[in-house]
Amino acid sequence: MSRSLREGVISFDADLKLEILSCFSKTVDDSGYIVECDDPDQRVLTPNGEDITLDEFAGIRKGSEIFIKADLPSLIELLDMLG
Amino acid sequence: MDNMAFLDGLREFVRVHLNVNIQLGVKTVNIIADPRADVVSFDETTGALKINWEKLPEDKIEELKPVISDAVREHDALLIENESRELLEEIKITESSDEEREFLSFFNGKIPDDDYTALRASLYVKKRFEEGAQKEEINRLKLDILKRYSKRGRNICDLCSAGYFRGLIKIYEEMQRYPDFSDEAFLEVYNPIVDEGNLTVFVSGGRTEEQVRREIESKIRRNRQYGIHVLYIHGIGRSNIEKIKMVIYDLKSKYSTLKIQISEYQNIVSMKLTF
Repeated sequence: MSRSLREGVISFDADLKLEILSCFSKTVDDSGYIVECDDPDQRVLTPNGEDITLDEFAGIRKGSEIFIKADLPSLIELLDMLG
Repeated sequence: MDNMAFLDGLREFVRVHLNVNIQLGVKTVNIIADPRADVVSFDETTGALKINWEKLPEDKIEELKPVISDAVREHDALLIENESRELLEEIKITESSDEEREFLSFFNGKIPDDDYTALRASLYVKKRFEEGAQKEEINRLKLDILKRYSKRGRNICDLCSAGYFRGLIKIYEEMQRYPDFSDEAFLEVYNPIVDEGNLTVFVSGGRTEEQVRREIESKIRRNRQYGIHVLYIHGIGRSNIEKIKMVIYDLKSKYSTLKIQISEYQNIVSMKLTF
């Protein structure tokens, strides 16, 4: 992988997931899914078309808003995209 | 990537709003939540800038939010939670050893893309297991694979842990020696193995007849215990095929209801035992 994981990266503590999402006008609905602040019926989607809970949330990368899940296959796919 | 620009934005935020002047050398940015830490800290040796969200007044948080969203939207920064970043680095390290690179590059393009990602994930699980990771962590990682790739993913993980994918390389290389070989022919052997998962016994390498017998018998016993009356055996190489046949011959006298279906492809044998 050419891109270092220490360059061009902003990392954050797990306790700040909700606060970080608020930077992008996102919040969490009653079921724990990440939704748009101005349209709480609209759940955000990962590139695989899956909705995503706060627990599963790992981060965001550029490209519209690409939401990343914290599971192993999603992080491997992220590694390839960064490469 | 316009890396510097997003760092400029954060440096400027720190200078204007927190009265900390950092001229150069910011390499990493970490947004933390730590009631005991300073509102901002900078390590000149590592270039690590830490901004403590918990210590920021509300008005400063509102100033910081667009800086973070701009970093991602306008400057291609990756925004990632710390534990996931650590996991990413761990995966990268796992895959960067010569042995694993060679192993993975063998399967890249030969098996379906989803299987390949599941295999990479399985390799990481195997490494963590060998490093003595807690059962909870191993189960959580396996569940990640199962959730994404269902039963096939779980089978890939089990087969990878048992070292069967090394055997699949040998199968491929054996098949490759014959003129009518194609990747599709390999997939015809590979797919049933991956679908069967731990209902499979895979015989390759220099195992003794006694070792082969013990594994087959113990899996027959285990399967019967759980109401499963089938076992698949795959073997490669003449000597292994002979060993399997000897063991099966003996088993026929032991298990009267044993039925055997055999298919052979050059030096590879596949058997389905029903009992």
